[in-house]
Amino acid sequence: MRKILTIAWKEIYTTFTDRNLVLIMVASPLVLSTIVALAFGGLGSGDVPIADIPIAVVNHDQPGPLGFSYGSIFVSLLVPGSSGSEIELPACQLFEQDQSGPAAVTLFDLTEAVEFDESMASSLVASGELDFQHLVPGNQAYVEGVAKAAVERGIYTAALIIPEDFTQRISYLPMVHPVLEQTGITVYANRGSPIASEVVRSIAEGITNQIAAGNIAMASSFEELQASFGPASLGQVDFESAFGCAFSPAGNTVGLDSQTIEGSSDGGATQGILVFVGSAQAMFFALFTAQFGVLGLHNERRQGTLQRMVVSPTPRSAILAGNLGGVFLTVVFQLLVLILALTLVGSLLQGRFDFIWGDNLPLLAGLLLSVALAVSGFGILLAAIVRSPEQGNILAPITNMALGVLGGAFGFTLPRIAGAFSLVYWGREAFQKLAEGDTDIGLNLLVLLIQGALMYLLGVWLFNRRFEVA
Amino acid sequence: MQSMVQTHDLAKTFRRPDGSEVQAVKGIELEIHKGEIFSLLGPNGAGKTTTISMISGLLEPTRGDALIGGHSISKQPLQAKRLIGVVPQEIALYPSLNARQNLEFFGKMYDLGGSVLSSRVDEVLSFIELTDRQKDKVDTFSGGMKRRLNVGVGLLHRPELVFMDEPTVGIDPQSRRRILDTVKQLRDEQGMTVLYTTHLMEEAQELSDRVGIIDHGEVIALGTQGELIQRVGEEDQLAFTVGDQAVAPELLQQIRDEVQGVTRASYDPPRPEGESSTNTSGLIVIHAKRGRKALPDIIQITNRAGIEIQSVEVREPDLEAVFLNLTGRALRD
Repeated sequence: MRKILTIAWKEIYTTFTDRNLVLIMVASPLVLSTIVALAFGGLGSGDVPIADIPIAVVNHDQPGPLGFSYGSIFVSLLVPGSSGSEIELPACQLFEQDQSGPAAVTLFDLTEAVEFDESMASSLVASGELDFQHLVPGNQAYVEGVAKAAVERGIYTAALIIPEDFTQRISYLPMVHPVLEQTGITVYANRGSPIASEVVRSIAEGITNQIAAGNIAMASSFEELQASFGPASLGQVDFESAFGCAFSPAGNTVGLDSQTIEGSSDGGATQGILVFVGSAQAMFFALFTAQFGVLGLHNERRQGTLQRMVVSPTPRSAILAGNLGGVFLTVVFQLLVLILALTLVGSLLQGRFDFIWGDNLPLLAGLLLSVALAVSGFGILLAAIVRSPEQGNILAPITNMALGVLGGAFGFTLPRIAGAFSLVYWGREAFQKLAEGDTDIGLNLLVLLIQGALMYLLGVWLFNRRFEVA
Repeated sequence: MQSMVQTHDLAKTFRRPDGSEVQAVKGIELEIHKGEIFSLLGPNGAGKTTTISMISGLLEPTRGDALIGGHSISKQPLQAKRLIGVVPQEIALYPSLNARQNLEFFGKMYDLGGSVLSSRVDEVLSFIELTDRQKDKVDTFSGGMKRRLNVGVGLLHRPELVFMDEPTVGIDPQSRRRILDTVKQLRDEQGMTVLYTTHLMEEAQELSDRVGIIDHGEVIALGTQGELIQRVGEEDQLAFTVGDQAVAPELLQQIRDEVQGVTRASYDPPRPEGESSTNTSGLIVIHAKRGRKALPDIIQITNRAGIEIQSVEVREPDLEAVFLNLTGRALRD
């Protein structure tokens, strides 16, 4: 055991006294994360190109006493050619700009929304993109549940849930429904895309405000009509033509404090970006660290120090265990440094200390160890496959890029079925969940541990078979 | 005499990438006595390093075994390895660690620790004359200093048996001399057994109590230098410098016929200046068994022929000549 620790310590010492390695391990992800934070976190210009934000609009709303549904306004404004598009708003184009100003941007340019109904939910579940067994089709909870799961998996950036009685509660009609009641649009936002989520939330807020403003305008008009011409006059009004423009954001903005935003962060978008970028980059660079560490065995063979250990009364298993132990601890240390450094960056941007990785430290520690095991396992597997450090230096970046792409390390997410093959995905997702306060990372830990253990065993077996010391 | 190393039918076959096999060592039988310097002499690629690698436990033999102080390197590797110190051909050190850290790390691999390790490290640093540079990183060392530290690491745990695999390759004459003196010191002062591989005949001749000549994976001769030379019956070479005097072929024939033990006699005339030759004087070269005995008779005959001998050189047979005799090739070929 003493020899294993000696070898592990030597491994750590030589790694951290190698400036190039330290640069790759710690400085690169930190610099990258800081650049991203500066670019997207408010210290930069803030001009972030956003386009085609995928949104699922779940409209349960039913027509109210006036015969139409306010929920359809959401659908018609967000989804081109949707069922709600019968409400024509030609003169009230959303986000219409002054012609002398910048080019006009419409919601259709900005978003890529779908009207998410039960058939879409069922086809998504049937395609295997979502593992959704706990609710059965045939009710609103099912559609909402699938939409929420799709947001969590990154298929949609956000889901807008419009309740069944949305129109009913905010419709004012003297005699029939003479009160305005509180209601809400629920927005499920994906923490992995904090800026896009903020945009969706703003859009929802804007539309909701306009509906409220229009509704109040209608209510006052009704009262005027009723006062001037009597209750019978209300039946003569074409509501859609008369009040359509009242729902445009170009009209007055009156706040409707009735929406619920779920999945938003306490610390704002910067922290979300740091968590997303940081966790992905931590996984990505941990892969490099582990691989360079284990590939060090090839370098040791080349410089003769491995042979020197082998001819000493030290079992080969102890040499391998010491080396892998050193790599494992190096990766843990690297992840720790990154987590703390990203917290520091986040706190500086926030202006106050904010530990952005959640408050479950034992789970965070468990995650660090699982990630270190998985990436070290991948490292030993790679080292066993290649014949020389040069081969390793070519193969490592290729495999890491592939794992990074599959695992969503570069700002976009692939379907879960693809990501599931990448340990980057499982690690990144677990870090993000913990940061959101979601401690449901058991599956992530299990997958990382299984992947790590399998790769360790296969790698060690291959290593002993293929690696010639002399 | 107590034996320190015994090999039985020690063989190693390597498989090439194309699937073919190459027999690097073909069933070697060796016995090295305790306290002796044994040189394994052979040209590059003869199988010296492979043999030493198997005996030190670095390579697994394809067949056969080696006993180190009575412990089988295959069956009791840890016990056998405790007795061995290895000085590899290449510099096997961590360049980013300093001299002391290198010694301490490898010392721990031999179960040394605490004050014992510390005092051994001091001892070795002093022995290899690197005490002043102990805190310097190895990658700042000269080639000779690295070589000395490379030797020092192999001696740190005071092994009974030291394997030195061509330890003087690629170093300056001064460092080479220091290493050769160290090897003799190890035997004379510490009673260590040394297995020394080299392709340099001079080193083997200077150091060895016994020599094994290895070629194509086989030990082709084994014994003291005298035994080896005697075994192949090598002749002395007598070189007579005769200036620019002409030597008739009849004189050479007379020497061959009349002097006992002479087998060959030839004349190498002086070369005109500018030609690529070292002898500006004529040379009579005579090969004879027991050359010193034949010397008076040869001088008498040349005097009678009116040839004035300016100088005489007697070259006794060496290991190079033995190797040449056994293989038909020079060691450096």
